[in-house]
Order: sequence, then structure tokens, then C-alpha cells
Amino acid sequence: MMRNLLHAANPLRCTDKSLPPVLVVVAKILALVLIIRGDQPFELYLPYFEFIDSIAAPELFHLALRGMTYTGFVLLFFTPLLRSGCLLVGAAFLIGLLSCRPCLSVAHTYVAALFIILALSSNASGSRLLRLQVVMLYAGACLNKLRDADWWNGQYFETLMVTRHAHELYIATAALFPPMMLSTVMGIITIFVQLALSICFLRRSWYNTGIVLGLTFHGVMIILMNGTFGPFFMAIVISYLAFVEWPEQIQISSEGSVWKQRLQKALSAIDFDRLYHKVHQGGAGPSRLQITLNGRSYYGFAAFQLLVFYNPIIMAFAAFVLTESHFGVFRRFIVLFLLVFFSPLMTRFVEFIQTGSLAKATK
Amino acid sequence: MSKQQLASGKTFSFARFARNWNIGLVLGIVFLLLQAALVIQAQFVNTRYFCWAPHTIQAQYTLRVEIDGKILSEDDVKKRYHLKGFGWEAHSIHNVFALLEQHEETYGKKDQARLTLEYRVNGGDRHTWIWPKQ
Repeated sequence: MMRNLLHAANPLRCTDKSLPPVLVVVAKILALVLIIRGDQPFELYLPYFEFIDSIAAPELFHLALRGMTYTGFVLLFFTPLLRSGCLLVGAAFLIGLLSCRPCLSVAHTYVAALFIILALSSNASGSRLLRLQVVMLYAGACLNKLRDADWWNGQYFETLMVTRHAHELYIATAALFPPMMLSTVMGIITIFVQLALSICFLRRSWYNTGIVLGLTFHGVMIILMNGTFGPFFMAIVISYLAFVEWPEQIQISSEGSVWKQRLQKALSAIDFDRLYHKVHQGGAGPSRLQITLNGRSYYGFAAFQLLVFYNPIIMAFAAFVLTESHFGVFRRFIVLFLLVFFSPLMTRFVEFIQTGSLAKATK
Repeated sequence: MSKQQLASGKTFSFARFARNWNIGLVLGIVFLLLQAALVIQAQFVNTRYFCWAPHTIQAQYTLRVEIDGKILSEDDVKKRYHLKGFGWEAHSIHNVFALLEQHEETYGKKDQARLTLEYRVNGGDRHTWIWPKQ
């Protein structure tokens, strides 16, 4: 009992009795993003429902919502009541949105919805609800554009990129084509990408395609605009974890070169969930890094990519760097680096450099 | 209801339903269906609320507010409506109309403000919205 409480009190742990590890990672990183950004529920002002105005004075109302949020964060990070924490944070943000008509924000609505969905999820339902939430977001976004002529004739993108943002690179690129052509193509691509994402995330065998397409779509948006649209970028990227098969254990071959042993040691030091399992091999061991997860073996750079990817601490650090405003000027470069680092093409390229052949890095 | 029926579990029991069907999953599906209803409803109205419509339009607007013959400054407009006097709306321009209307019918009713909102949606023609409605 005491041991369980101590384990739960570690904010860096990612195992929980009520939720699968991947959803714990989603909840904690999402909460971390809100804390770094200093996001709070919106203040009471012109609520959608009049009765909300009569509940309490605006100051008291906001204090209660902030109290709910902070209590939620404490439950989420330091106790076994992770789902209750998610419910408090999600409800506080949703009530804040409903209490303030001028504060309408799709980004904060999505964050609130994610926390509520996490609170309603369980080991039995797994990531199903979160997956459907992602599908709902893209299907809704697509449907809202589908019937708008300005998305098909380029008017929307022209206004966004030229009139509103006077985006130099966009204007220069658009000048290479006939008038409105680039804006028309961008509008149509956006509609079809969102449609494709909502379809890809409905079918297990298309999840990976959806993830690559989605990360490229949102990554390009960040690179172009250098903004995160509030907490939206991190929230959508982190919810893609719902489509990833989170390993119960990663076996790393511990023999071989010194750097491999150092890497294994470093990962073990931040492994609070005992995810990594060292495998002793006879002799000098394989010449390349080798890991086994979900019944498949990976070698070399592909193995290294996965070790970095399946590490919640590294993931939290990436979220911190992408969210913290001081790194704002570098954000587009960080996103570009991450997209390139994790791209399958990069795996093939590094493998080619190392081995001189394009042999697959999996078995 | 006989004891035999109860023992065989063939009769409806809410407790058993909740146990077997995972009440969280059911509530989650209800939550998602509610979102779907809002997305569908948005296709038949002009406003866009909670229907996953991020940056669906780009409406540029200028709001002019007159109270007792005095034009409010941009700061005063921001304080009064929590909305910039000059800016962009990314969901629906009808959301701005609804906000201003609600304010003038509730918080600001006693001021008898006269509002003029000039706007262009996605770089289209210039339109004017006036309050009180004529």
C-alpha cells in the first residue's frame, strides 16, 4: 500500500492502475503543457447560459475554477487518482469556456475534451475514446470547410497569408504561379488532408499513415506560422499517441560498444516504470544497437529513434522546449529537426550511410 | 420477478449493465455524440460554437461604439466587450454579432449604445452591421 502510494507520488511515473501507460503519458504531458503556458480556465464574462452569471461573483467563480485546476494537477501528478485529476482539469476548462462567450477557443476546447475523455477512459476501453476524439476533431474541421466556397477558390488562404499575415515566403512563392493558384491548392489540400486524417484514424492498418500525414500537416503549419495556436499543437500531437502501440517492455542488448552501454545506463537512470530490460548476450554482442519491442527487433538508427520516442521524459522535455515561449524563435527549427529525425526516410538514409545498403532495419 | 430469473441474470439490472458495459465508455460515447450533434447543427446555423471549426474564416472588422454621443476608444471597447475594436474573427462573424447583441441586451442594456460593425469575410465585399437593429 505504502509502496503504491510512493510510486504514485512520483510525477515522472507513467504507470497507473486505472489507465494504460500511453494515456498516462498523454495526461501528464498535456498537464505539463498547460502549466508551462500558464493556461487557466477563462474568467466569467457573458456566459452562454444566463444562470451561470447568478452562481457566484466573477472573482469567486474564477477562484473556484482555478482551485479545481490546481487540485486536478496535484491529483494527476502526485496521487493514484489520476482520472479524477483529469476530470477536474477538463471540467474546469470546459466550464470556463461556457462561462465566457468572447473567449471561444478551439484549442482550449480540445484540451478540455481530451482531459474529459481521459477521465472517462479505463484499462478496459484503452485508447478507443481518445482515438474517436481525434477523428471527431478532424471530421468536424473538414465538414466546416467542405461547404465553404472560399476554401475551394483560394479566398480563405489568400486572406490569411497575404492580407492578415503578409507572409513574405508565401507571397514570394505565390508570385511564381498564376494569381490565386497557390491559395486554391492550399485550401483544397487542407480539406483533403483533414478528410484523409479522419479516415486513416478509423482503421488500425492506416494509423501509421495518419500519424505521418498529421505530423507533416501540423509541422508544416508550425514551420510556416511559427506559432502553436495556443496549446493546440502540443495537444493534437500528443493525442496521436492513442494510435501508437505502447510497449510493455523494451529489450536492449547491453553488450558491444561503450556508447551503447552508456546509452543503456542513461535510459535506465530515467526509467521509473521499468520499461527497459537489459538483455545479456554472449560474446561481443551485435555490432549495431539492437532493441526488441512488441515482438519485433530493430537495429541501428531505427532502434535509436524508437528508444528516444518511447521515452516519456524525453517526450516531456520536447514538449517543454516546444511550449516554453523563450524558445519561440527556434520553434520552427525544432519542429523541422524533429520531423526529419523521426521520418522513415531518415532511418533509411542513416542505415545507408552506415551499412552501404538499403536493407530494412527491422526483423 | 422470480429468484430463478434473477439468478440466471436474464432480467435487466442497471448495476450489471454498468459493470459489464463500463459506464465510463458509455459516458465517453455520449460526450462524443454530443460533439457530433454540435458539428451537424453548425451546418444549419450561421454561428460556430464548439463544433471544431478552427480558423474556418478570416473576417476583418472594425467596431465603432457610441454612448451618449461619445465614441469609445479602442481600450474602452476592449474593456466593454472583451473584444478588440479592430481585428480578426476566425470562427464566424455571426459569433461577433451574437456577442455584441448579448452584451447590449444584458450587461450594457442601460447604456443604450449604438454600434456599427464594418466587416469583410475572407477578403470579400464590405458589409455593415448595426445595433440597435433597424
